[in-house]
Amino acid sequence: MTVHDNTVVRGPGLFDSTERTKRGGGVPRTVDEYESLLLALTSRDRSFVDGPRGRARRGNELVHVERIPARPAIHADLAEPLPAALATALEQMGIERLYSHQAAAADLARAGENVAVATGTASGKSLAYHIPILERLLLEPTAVALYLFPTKALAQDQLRGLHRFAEYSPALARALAAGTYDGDTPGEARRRLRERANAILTNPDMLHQGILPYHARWSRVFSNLRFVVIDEMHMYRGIFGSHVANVLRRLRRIAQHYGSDPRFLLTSATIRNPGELAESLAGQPVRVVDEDGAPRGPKLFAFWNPKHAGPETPGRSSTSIEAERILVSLMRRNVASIAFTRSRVAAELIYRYTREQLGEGRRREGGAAGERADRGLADRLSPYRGGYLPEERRAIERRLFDGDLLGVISTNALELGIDVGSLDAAVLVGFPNTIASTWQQAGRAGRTRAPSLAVVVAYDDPVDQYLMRHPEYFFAQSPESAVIDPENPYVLAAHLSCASHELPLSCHDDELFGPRAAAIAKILEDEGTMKSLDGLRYWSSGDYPAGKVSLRTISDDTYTIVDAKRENAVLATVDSISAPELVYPEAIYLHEGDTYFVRELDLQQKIAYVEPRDVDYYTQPVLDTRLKLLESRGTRRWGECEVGLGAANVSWATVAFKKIRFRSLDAIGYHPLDLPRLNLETVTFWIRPEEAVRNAVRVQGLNPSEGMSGLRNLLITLLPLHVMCDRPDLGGILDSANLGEQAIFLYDRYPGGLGYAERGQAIAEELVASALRLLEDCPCEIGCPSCVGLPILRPAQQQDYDLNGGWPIPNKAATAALVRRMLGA
Amino acid sequence: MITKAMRERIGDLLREEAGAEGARVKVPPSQNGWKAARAARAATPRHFVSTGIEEILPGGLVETEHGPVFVHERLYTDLGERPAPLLRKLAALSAPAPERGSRAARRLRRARDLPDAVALADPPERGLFRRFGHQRILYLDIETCGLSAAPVFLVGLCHVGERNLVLRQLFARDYAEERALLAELARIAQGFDFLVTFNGKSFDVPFLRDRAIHHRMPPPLDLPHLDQLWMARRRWKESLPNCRLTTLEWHVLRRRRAGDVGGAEIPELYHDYVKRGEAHRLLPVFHHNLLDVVAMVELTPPLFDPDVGVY
Repeated sequence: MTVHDNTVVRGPGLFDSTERTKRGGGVPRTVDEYESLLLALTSRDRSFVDGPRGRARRGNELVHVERIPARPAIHADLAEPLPAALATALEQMGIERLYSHQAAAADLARAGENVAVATGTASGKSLAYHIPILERLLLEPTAVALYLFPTKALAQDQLRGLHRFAEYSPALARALAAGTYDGDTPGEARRRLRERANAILTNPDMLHQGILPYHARWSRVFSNLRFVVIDEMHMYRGIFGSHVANVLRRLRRIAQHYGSDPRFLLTSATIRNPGELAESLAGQPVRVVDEDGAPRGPKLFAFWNPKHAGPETPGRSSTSIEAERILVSLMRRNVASIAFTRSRVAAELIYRYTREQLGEGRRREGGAAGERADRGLADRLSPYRGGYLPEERRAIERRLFDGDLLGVISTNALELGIDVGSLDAAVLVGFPNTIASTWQQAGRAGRTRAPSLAVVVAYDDPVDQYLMRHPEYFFAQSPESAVIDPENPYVLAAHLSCASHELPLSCHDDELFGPRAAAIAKILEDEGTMKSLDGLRYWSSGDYPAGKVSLRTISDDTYTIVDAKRENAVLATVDSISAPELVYPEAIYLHEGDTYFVRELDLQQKIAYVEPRDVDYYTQPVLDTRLKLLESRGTRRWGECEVGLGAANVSWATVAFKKIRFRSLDAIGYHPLDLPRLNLETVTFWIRPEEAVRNAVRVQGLNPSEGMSGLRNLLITLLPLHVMCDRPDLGGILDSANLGEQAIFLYDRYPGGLGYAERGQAIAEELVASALRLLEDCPCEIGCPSCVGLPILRPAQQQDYDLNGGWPIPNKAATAALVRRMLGA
Repeated sequence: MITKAMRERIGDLLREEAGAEGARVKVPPSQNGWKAARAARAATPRHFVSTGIEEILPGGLVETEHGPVFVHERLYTDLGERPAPLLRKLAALSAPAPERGSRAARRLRRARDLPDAVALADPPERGLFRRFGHQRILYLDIETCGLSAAPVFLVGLCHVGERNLVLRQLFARDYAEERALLAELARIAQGFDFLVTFNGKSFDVPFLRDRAIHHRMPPPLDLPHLDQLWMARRRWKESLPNCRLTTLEWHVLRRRRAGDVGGAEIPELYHDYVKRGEAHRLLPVFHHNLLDVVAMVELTPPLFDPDVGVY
């Protein structure tokens, strides 16, 4: 699937870097003006060394632009007219005609089909499900619709969207009784929802633990359930997706028990396999609508690589500062912009730098008037992160929607479809981890007719640098597939337990849960948690199974960050995995660009006490990940290697922190920390080559450790294809401490393991052979993200990536030499 | 929740499947002991003697439209108690309100203050007794496999006969009999006019209603309902450490239980019974339930008697 065609590609070295554009002026009216805007920011003098062959290049930071042509709107009408109340509401909301994909999806839903809409960002996907549902609620007063969103924030946002309909039509206002149901919903509101609501917005975790096990209380909803909306279904991939697919199967059997058979309406970002994912989740055939009828103005997609810091200094200029320069330039031209960062720290840093730049009015031209204008701009800039309090996030979203904010700096929280109106420019600070995410973030910018800009500013890390050197690689890639495995036996065991607790399992459930279900249920029965009576398997243990199954790999606990100087007023929240990386004791916590000193981190109460402190530095955590093999479950010899399987404890902790001065990035201190480690008990498999193998690589003048790194990356790339998980579901390290010699350890990122490492061990030889084939087939010369290179994989990444850079992709030749020797070639 | 043993067996399952697909690589048996241990476990047969509850408790099967359910019946006299005084006091509750100048009214004058006295002697709940008569009450207490989203397996009932109290316990011998239990309860309840429980408003009645919905049956209890816990709280909250049934048993009825089974143990005892059938292990649950029902009945007169103090 191509996202663009008819492009005119212009490469580096063709620009006249001495061209200056006029300062000031309004919003760019063509993509050429955006290009000029960027060119004006490039460094003017220089031939600097770029590329691995030391090729001196007289160039600049703008290494690539891609022009994506405009696309007109494609409208379509619905097959049958809508009820008057709904039609007038749409008109009053300014929607005169529907786009082709909205009409197609709505008609399919009205005809009783399951539908998945997989069109681009901001293409109005939610209208495709609002319309058939609101129509049904008007025509059938007892009908109920259930909406599932990946996060509470998204549910809240869509609730507002629903209420907007009600504002424009009294009939709809009477017909609609909508509410969100999540962990924060108070008891009285829960009761009202159960008894009266006909539009219930929730998330998969709540459905799994709070609704399905108590289905008798929700009988009214299940008896009348007509639609189930699965929004942002691409989020349900890997382990999480496999769990959610089973939760949906449990939902279907309970609905069946109460006599309903709801239709599934799904929306998705652009992924390679929307139909397959939708059918795996829904367990039924789903029609896919992926022809995007929404209009798009022309877009300029630019790659920006910060220049080298200097001839003597290794590494490049700070990406955050480059992003700030671009953002400031855009805001001065009144361009509504959003910057996406990989971590909260990066978002805060860029906000702080940008605000400083605008607030101190460091414009060289324009004089006093220019300074005043800049200060006005500083007020129209805001950071945005998941950890902010709901009221703050609402305020920012509203200001964006109203056009009051001109610049927003966000972590990927806004990548999800929160409706914030239209933006003109998206600045991606570092490549996001997947091609799909990159297009999603870039897609946030773009109005229906006016031109827009997406610019990726690279970090000095191997993958970003590779993409800067080979932009054609990026544009040729299709977005990734989202893969799930609902029949993973460990996942099944967990959900069959929950299912039998809800309603006894019967042979009909084999159709729902797949051919392994009967065998697994028998195992559970033999082990005493179920009892067969007259062909039905009842739950026969005092345990409450849903309480013991987590859908997500990492827990959802939140820490609160409070201001100790203001009577512990709550500043923000942060999840328990990120907390030790963000608010460790003595850390400088950045909030809306201001510096706070972390006085204390209370791990029991899950509170971080901070106080405002005016400092000129921030802190960077130093993380240590360790794997400790607890118990070997078996080893075997393979040629000159040992392959083994065992139980392991993977732990990580912040062991120290560095003090870094703002802007200059000078390291001004290093302090050890003593924090308890976070633990994951799981299953791992390892490959340990003998010393002879490593020597064979050494004699060729190549580094065997790099070869091991490369092989590790290859295995992590290949194993998911065999076990149907997502790449982040696996972890892998190189370690010498456990076995006395260097070995590659791959493990499941889920407590107890899900069979991935087990399978990996069973097919280790096959995997390594595939690795060699992949290496040999890869057209790159010394290594690329498709073979030996990998984006950073870690559970949480709360750091400034500017400080990490400069390490290379593992050497392809070294990896090939190692693998060949292992295979005995 | 997925135990180590389950994981091992699931692992075996996967390996069998892989073997069936003809995978090239086979993992030979390991040196570690876990496989051997599992084999040893499988070799020893599980040995337990299955006894039905019918062999231990007198009672019979009652047929309902959803199949049979076991009912165990007892009389108050079987417990070694004399019913007559209790029956008299219960009957007295159905008497009309004290008239001016009557002996009851004179006793009221000795109470501390008027609202207190009126409340003590003539609480609003008494209206139910006056209206329906003490022989139309059904006392109820249930035992379940959990606080919610779990089956009910034992329903203890009591009503006032001519010269005795009749105690009945409806018992689902396995999970599949729960429907019959609910059906029989509904049938019995039709013969009464109002329900008395202890904490039934928060627990027993909503629980039974949810289970009926779960089984797609009509709600079994559609009666006016007196929850004695509420009355007890109103009257004795200040004077007692708590208003648990056993606390009231001690302070008001001056009786203490010996070696009663704890509420938290009950679900597992039932699950064990269904899986292994050792009925004698379930007897303490029947006994506990019986004591609860009896305590409830015996508490009724003191709740309405202003002269009763706490010990």
